[in-house]
Amino acid sequence: MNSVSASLSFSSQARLLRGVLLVTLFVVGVFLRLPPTLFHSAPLSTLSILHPQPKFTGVGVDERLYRNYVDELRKVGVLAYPEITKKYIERQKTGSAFLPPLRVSYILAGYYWQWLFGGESLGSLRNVSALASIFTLAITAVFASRIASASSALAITALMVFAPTQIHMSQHALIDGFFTLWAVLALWSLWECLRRPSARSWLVGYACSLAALVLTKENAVFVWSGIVAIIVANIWLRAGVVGPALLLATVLGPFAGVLGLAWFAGGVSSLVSAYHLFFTKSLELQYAILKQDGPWDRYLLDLLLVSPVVFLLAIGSAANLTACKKVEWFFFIFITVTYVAMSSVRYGLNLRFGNIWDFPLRVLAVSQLFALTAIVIRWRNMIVIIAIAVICAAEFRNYIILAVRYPLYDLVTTDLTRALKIRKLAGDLPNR
Amino acid sequence: MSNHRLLNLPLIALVVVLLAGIFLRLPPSLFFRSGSLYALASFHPQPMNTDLGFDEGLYRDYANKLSRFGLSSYPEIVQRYREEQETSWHLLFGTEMLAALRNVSALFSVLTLLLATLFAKRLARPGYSLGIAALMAFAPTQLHMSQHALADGFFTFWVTLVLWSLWENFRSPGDWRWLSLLVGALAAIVLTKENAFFVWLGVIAILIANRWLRWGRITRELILAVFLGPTLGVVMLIFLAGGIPELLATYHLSVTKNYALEYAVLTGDGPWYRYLVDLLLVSPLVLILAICSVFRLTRDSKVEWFFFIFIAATYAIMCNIKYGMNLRYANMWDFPLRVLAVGQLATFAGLANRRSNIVMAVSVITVCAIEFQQYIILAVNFPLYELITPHLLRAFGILKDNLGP
Repeated sequence: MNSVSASLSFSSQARLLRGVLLVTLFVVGVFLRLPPTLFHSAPLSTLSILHPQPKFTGVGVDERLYRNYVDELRKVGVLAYPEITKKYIERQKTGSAFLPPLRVSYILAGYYWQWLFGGESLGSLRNVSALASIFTLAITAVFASRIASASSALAITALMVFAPTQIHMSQHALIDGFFTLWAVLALWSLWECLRRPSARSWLVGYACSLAALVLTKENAVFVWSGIVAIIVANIWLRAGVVGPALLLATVLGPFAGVLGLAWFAGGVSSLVSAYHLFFTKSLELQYAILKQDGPWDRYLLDLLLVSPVVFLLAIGSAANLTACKKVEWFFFIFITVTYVAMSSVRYGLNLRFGNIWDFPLRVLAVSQLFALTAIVIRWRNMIVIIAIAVICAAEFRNYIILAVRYPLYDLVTTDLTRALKIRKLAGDLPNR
Repeated sequence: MSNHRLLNLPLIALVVVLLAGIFLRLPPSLFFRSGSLYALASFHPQPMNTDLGFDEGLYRDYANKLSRFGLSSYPEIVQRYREEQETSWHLLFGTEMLAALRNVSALFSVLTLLLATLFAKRLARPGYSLGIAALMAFAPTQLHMSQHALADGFFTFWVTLVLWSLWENFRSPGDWRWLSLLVGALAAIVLTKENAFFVWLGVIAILIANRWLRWGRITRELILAVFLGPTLGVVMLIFLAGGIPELLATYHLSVTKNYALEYAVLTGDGPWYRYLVDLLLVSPLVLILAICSVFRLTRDSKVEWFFFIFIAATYAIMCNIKYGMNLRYANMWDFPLRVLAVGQLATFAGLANRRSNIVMAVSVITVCAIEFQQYIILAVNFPLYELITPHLLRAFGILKDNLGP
């Protein structure tokens, strides 16, 4: 009964309150994710004091590259996308590593946003990031309601609303929040496919989200390995039925994505050489060597720095896994397998890439919180509500410390420790 | 015959573990060319930091003065300390006394290992003492403290003694031997470091929690001992400081100056979970296992509750000290954390049913190997002295200034 699917008992009046609370939370979550530029002019300028504006207002390295790709795409058109890839290969042969144009879906999304609504390329990309983060919040709220009791789903949604890394990704033209959207969609559709093996719409959605993952970022391979691990583990886990159609979709989805990539790259050989150049050059990239190195537990450290209570609760949940906690196992396997793969990438450790764990970690955290409060009978509802409110407040405060008081851009340990004042430089000393 | 051998296997393993732990804690100077153990130098992980640390310099200075002028000169030393505090931090250099202090650190680290093993044995859980002894033998922070003239390893010994004697007092209420030991250990922590206050509050928290957790009976003598020990320590401190005003002034200066000390402001700040961050950096598996253990606590986990309450109570205070967070001060949690970690390993190993002993042994060996590797990275491959986060990050390659040669 201590699973995330275990329900708290509420009266009908309380159920209504829960609905109102869910809507309120969602509105708050959307508000926090709105692009900061919206508050620079009317009609939202009056609300600017309520919106936590990120201190980093410059243009990050990755942001500049995505903006350049969108600008190039605007010049040559979508049909000439392979030209952009060819140019990348030529430039990459001589220069140091920079991200490839094969992150097609994000660049295309930015391009079409600009085509539809006008404005600058960077602004379009930032709007795409914000919208993707809002979609992620909406999808996770629905996904949570499908896997957990109504009260657990509300708690998970609340934690997602105030997740520092989710809010951070919504405020910058970085791909990782956009990637998280597809990863969460892939996980949700996988869950539904396991529960309803004959539902074609879920299979199509599942295959499409896998294809979108491949078209978004090369990290798709980690998500795919996590999904394969869940399918294999289902032999013992029995979270649902793995049919031939699901297996086929697991292979066809990414395959379709690769075919799409091959078209955007201008052929298989261009695709291979673009990735080959990117990966080999990345190992020599000064920024990657300086900022993305470390031991296997670096992601754990970064997660602890950003969301300490959620991290601790999630570990507690992992320690209390039992055979009946299928939902928790589902997410635990996903986190573990992707973690093992991602922590093994040399000079490739960055909490941005761990954005895909935000929702799974919060599912585990809520499960543990409910398990902890199970011993209290009389005041359980009140304790759960207060605990969730306190965690949300702590999470939001951490976002303020990290991104509003400190000009955080990349989620690297060196900057996180600086923002949290664990690491100070001589210039940080107060004037006496 | 074979049965007899098998029965002795844990004992042999324990002896091997303790010998390995003692060997690793031996002062590095013993393995120098002029040292008596030079032939074994290649087996001993020599710390890369061979410079004189800031605290080491201060301790050596005090010890030098004490050696020159005798115990009766202690009030003058305290007076001199206050004068120095009021003017500037002042260092004198030398070598002899430093070696003596380092030897004391090494000896007390060995004693802590033996004490922890004995305490674990008294917890009366089969297999626990070997597992805990092994994890303590290779604990990176324990090894680090044994190699430098820092008070924290020495302090840890007395804290472990306090916890053990408290535990035994619960089990054998009214036994004057355990009561005397508790009084002595509490007095010793007060004489060792001002952090004794945190430990004392941890002890009080355990006494209060006994109302629900019932480790044993709290007698009037036990309450008296808990207050008498620190009082004795304070009285001795007053004597050594030369009077109550001198003692108060000394502590007052030490505490207030710390807020203005550039080093403390730069390195001792951070959020409430900074100690968790540092522990995760140094001993990731032990910390994760300990956290798992905490989340699995039940009413029957009396041993785990005992150590958890101590850690939680002391943590709650120590993380609230402005500019006063340093993993050195958390050295006293090494043993409690490893008790929790071994408990969790035993739970995991228990899932293997018939092969639980093998799984447990393999798990403990793996954790020990990782812990030892962490020590090598931190203190042998990197010149670590202070256990502050930036240095730990640098040692693990997370924080880099340049690409190097």
